[in-house]
Amino acid sequence: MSRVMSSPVARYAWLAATLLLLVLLPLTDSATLINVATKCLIAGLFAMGFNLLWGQMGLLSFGHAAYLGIGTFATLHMMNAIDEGWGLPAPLLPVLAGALGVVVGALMGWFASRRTGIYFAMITLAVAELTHVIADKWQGFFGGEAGVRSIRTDWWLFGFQDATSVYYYCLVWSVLLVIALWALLRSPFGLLMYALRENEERVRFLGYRTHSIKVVGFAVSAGVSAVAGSLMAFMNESANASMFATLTSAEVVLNTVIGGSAVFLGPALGAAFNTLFGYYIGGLSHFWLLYQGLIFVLVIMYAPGGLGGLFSGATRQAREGRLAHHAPAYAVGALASLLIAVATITVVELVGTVMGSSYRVLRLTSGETWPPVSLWGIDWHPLGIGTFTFVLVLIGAGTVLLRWAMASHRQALDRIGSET
Amino acid sequence: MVMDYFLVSLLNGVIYGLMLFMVSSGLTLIFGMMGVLNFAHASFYMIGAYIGYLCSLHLGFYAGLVIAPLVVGALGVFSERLLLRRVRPQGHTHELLLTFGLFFIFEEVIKVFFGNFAVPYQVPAGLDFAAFSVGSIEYPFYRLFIGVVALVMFVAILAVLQLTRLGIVVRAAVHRSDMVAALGHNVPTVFTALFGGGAALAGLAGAVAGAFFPTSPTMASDLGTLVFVVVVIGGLGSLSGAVVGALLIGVVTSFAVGLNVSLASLAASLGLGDTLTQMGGLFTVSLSSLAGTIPYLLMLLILLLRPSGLLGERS
Repeated sequence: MSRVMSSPVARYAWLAATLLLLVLLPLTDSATLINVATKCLIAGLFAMGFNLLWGQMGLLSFGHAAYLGIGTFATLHMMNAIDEGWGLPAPLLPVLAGALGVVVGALMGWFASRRTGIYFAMITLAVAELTHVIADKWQGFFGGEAGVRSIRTDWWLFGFQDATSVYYYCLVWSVLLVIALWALLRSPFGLLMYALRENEERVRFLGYRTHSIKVVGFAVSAGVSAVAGSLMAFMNESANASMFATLTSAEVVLNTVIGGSAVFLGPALGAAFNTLFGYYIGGLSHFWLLYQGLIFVLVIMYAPGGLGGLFSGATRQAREGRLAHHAPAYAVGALASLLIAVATITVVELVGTVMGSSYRVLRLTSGETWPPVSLWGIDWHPLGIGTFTFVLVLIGAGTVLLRWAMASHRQALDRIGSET
Repeated sequence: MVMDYFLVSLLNGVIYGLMLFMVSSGLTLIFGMMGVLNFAHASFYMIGAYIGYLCSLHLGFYAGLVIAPLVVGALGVFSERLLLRRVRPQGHTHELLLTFGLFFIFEEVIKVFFGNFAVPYQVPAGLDFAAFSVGSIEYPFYRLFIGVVALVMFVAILAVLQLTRLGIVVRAAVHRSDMVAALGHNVPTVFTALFGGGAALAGLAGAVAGAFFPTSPTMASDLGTLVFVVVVIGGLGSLSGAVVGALLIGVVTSFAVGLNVSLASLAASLGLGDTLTQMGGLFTVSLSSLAGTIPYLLMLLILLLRPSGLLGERS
């Protein structure tokens, strides 16, 4: 739930614009863009499900890959069953997968919610690792290394053979579930979940069975994750046991934190950001995971509210007419970040290239000790004075500007504080 | 034959357990003192192995055993002072998430320098021989070497913690850090030192074990969850618990890997074998390939039945 109460008109204008953009996206007729957008939707839904536990109830799960994977493999097997003549309408696959997720989630949640804090996280981690090992070894169901394959079947008037139809299929399900989550969070039960996070003991004193609330929250969260998994199965038509790896559970944590767990759509924003980042930056650089990790740490240290927090903070300032006070600091801060980012990327790319095996070959064939490396259309000499000067100047200038921006931001805040 | 197998497995398990303890000891003390589970702790182990590898190329293997813990310890101090400390006011979860991010960054930085695959970090020729043979099995001396290094470290940690003034402060701070601070000790500095010390230990473990086991960027994530299992089973914050947990996990995994039986063949002795074999699925998977589940099953049991761990304090 958004802690920032923005005016309804402004909020719904943003939402409507985003939704319109999503609906019109297939008009671009770019298959890759539609595919990436579908991935964003699925990752976004997964993060929204995860954040029901983390953002709303303060329970950090390190094992949500298990529920995503359960949804995926259940759907793949159901799709195979449909292919063999089982009369199940394809659009309802996520319902069954989600129901399975809810059941498994309720069971696991019942165990995990008996503990709080780090112990809760460790139980979810242990369950996910167990699921991973079993999925790896149980070839009959999870298909071993080859995985399980299936095909989408058309249903009634709906054909699902092109990327656009799959995109709309995922969009409809994601929007429905996000609306359902929004309704759940605004319901009295949603407020109870929030109260639980703030002070569990008091909620218990008020006579609520807190363990049951947590189990229900866990079950819904697992159910939404399983629906995301189901959509993933529908999109890819195949999966293998590697999706149960810790990395999948870690990614959803990363997405949610980068997006901001305190803003309702923050996790979806973070998931979309990271998916696009992985797709576009991943195509440009081998080291995109490092950049993603750096962004994550920077968000934790300097913007704990995530991208969503920054966004809602800026819109609030704009509404209160304070954005002008902060604008210079923001602009300079952005410029400083850009300078430091360019310097960091230069260093990483040069070091990565110089340490790589193809550079070793180049050194042997070219006869030079340190042949130049091409980056951004410029030849860089790995140990040249120019390279070092460039990096140091950028970092120096960036640091000075960043300090100025932070000081100016603080002053603006103080000024507003003294005015009110 | 059975006896030989038993002996070798036991020895392997104990030595692996001792190595696990080297990595877990810092983790459990850090948790006890600050309530932070450091996700990046196993990364220190990985970085130690890579520094050991670098040293073995240029300065020799033994230099690596000294340099790796120093460098990794310095990295630990740096991470604590400049990064963790800044997010501490925002609570434990933010610290946890920060270490989680560091874990990613460390792995990726290693990949930038050394590539995605294992590097050929090898046991030095002087230590690469069979110590003795049990039946037909020749036992590598280097495993004993790992065990000896771990034992020496174990004794050293215990001596520092039990006999020195610093050790008393650390142990007291693990129990009641506010009280220790009230007595005039600089708890944040002690914590930084502990963080660096724990990282150095993990780095040493990496430099020693990396020469025997594969040194690759995934070694942090491979060991990381296992180390969590160890400290949870022993009891978060309990050093003696970490000893028990590490040995238990070391021995259990070592034995399970050698067991070539499946649930179906076990059931065969009860006359149910055919039914289960026909059912297939999980029942015909050999237990050795399910060995990986045992630590997590143990951890789940402990978390559900006795969350403070085998030797932890009841909270």
